[in-house]
Amino acid sequence: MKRILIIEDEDRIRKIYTQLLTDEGFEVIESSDASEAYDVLNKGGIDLVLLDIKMPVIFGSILYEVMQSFHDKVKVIVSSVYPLDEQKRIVKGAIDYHDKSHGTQLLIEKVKKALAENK
Amino acid sequence: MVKGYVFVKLFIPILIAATLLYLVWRGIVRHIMKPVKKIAEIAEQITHEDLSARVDIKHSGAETKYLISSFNDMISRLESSFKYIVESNSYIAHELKTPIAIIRGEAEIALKKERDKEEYKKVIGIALDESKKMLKTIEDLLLLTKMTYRPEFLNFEKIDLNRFLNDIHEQSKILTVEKNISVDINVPEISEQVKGDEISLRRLFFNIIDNAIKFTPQNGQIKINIKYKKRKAIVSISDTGMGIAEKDIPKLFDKFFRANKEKNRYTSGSGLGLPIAQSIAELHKANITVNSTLGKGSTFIVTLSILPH
Repeated sequence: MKRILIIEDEDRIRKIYTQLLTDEGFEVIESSDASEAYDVLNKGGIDLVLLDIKMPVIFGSILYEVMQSFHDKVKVIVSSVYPLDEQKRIVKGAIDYHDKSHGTQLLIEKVKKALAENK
Repeated sequence: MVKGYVFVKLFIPILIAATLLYLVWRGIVRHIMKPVKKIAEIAEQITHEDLSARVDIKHSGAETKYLISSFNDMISRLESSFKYIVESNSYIAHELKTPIAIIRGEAEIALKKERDKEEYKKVIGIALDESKKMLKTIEDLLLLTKMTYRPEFLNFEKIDLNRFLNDIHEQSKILTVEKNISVDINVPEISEQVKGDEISLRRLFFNIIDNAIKFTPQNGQIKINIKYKKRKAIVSISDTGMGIAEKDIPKLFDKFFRANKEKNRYTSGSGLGLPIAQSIAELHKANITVNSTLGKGSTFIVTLSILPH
């Protein structure tokens, strides 16, 4: 079973993603705090990270470090309410980007596609 | 014969003089119109997409410098208004997309298969809550814009400040019941009057009080204190809440900023309460200052001018 780490500080959104991905048959690890997530990532065994970014605070933040340190080792899908082109401009190295308001079906497709791809 | 001779002798010099005068006149007009022409050329370049053009003031005479700098200042003011509108649009889009993501996510998951009654009720309840929050965000932003651009909607009257703040105190007690926060007021014996729009002043004080309630834990305290000094009314609202970091204080009234990283960052209202309070204060020629100690509490001080007797 693939293991997905969700890094999202908005409780309601994190709950939705957890239920969504669990229903799809993935093992989900939740984290509302980037430093907690950092520890989980260091232990290894994560197949995909769903990373929420609160823009434009990404730079100099621990979330940025997560991206920098782990994007080579694990697949990261960035999620935000900001438009996709802005997300792509600000955060490089993610395997995919998701606009939270575009719905859960799209997110599942992106997750499945990312997991199927060879890194 | 004589007539013809007089005619030539008079007419030709007059004609020459008139022509010369005309040419001089044309020269003067052209000279005067040069800066006006410059302004017209720049004005042609200004569109809602590009307000960056300015008239070059360097090679102009003193008389026209004033005209040109007024023109340039006007464009600068328009440019900041447009920037504000664009920023507000981004802010609205961002603030509204999170509740949309929540409503959509919950609805999509609920509809995937048969659920029981309680689960459906929960999802409908969430949709209702989030809709209300979106509405508040929109209304607050519209209010902020209206106050910035159309302050004439205010209705200024004489307000008895003791009476006014005592009312606010009474009503705050209802808001603090849930968290069991005590609200006390200290008014001087003799009241003073201020000139203001009562509805918006109420909003100003309630926005500050709401903020105090939000960041003060159970069983905390809020104190309202009024002091009349010289020709000012100094109203302070202090709480025993979590306080605000020194570095965050200047950003409190910035509509894009939220000081404290409380757990459910998003659920705490539209974030526009304090910026709205600030706008109302400005319209009343009042000001708001903040003192705070992290972990101990904060004090918001509103200073208003008192009406002479």
